[in-house]
Amino acid sequence: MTVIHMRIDNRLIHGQVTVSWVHNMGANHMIVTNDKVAVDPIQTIMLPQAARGIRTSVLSINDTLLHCLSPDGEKEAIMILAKFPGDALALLEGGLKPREINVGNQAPIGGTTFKMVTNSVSVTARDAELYRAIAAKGYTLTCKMMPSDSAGDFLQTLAKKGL
Amino acid sequence: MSGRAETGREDAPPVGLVLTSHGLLAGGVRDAAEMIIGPQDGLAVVAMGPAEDLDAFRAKLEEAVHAVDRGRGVLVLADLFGGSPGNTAAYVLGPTVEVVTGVNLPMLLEVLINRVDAETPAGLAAIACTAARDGVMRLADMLGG
Repeated sequence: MTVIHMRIDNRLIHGQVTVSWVHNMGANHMIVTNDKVAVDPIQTIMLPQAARGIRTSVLSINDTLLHCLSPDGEKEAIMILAKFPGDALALLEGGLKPREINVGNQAPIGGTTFKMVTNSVSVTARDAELYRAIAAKGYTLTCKMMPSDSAGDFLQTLAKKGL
Repeated sequence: MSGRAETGREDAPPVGLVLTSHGLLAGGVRDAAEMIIGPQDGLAVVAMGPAEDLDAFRAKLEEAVHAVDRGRGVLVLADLFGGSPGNTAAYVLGPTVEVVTGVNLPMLLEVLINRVDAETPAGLAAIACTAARDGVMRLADMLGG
């Protein structure tokens, strides 16, 4: 068993929400993946502490791939928190095969042209292309805040918004 | 200033305060505190909405810290350790800026009452942590139920 769940979420670890996912999934290692976050001295200290006792690493895309594809990584049940859809796609292209992929939060980024497709998910035209590229790897993307939320096809949500 | 506890330093400026939270909690806890001890100066609220741009939010927080600092430093009270408001507040930490997470009404009241007498934001942060913990009680334990 290796990557059991990948969440795309630019709010990263927001306390109880992420912890409930980790427990629901039965993950024993959480990896936050983003090249900038991996070198941010504040985030690398804060995020593992926010995960409340769950083993947490903050890694670049390359280091995430190296770990997940290593013999050690193969033995773990890993949940990945990818900051942006581009991070998630890079991990898939690097050979990861998570069992499922969910879009959590995507807070808008200033200076971009985006649409809010749910209360907490903003999507630019470029993001929409990335989500479609992820789905084309054989995934039905869901968009759930909590594990118990009903699952819909995120691409259909995008289509309804003209993205 | 109304509602201030009796102190020997009525003329000294208070440590500045910033409340930050998911949604309306920060504004709500301020309203509740002001209902009890009256209107407060040097107290800013920065609420994070569900569609908030995190960089813009960080800028708002920095602005609020600057606005309430009267030379005695600032204490930021955030709602949740590990939440985005608290994580963002980590970036405003500094020699004269403290951050405490897990804000509740007992914490805020104690901070408001002590923020003139407190020597430093760090001292006020320690008061905040103690007050928040001491403010949680099971009534049956107290009433012998």
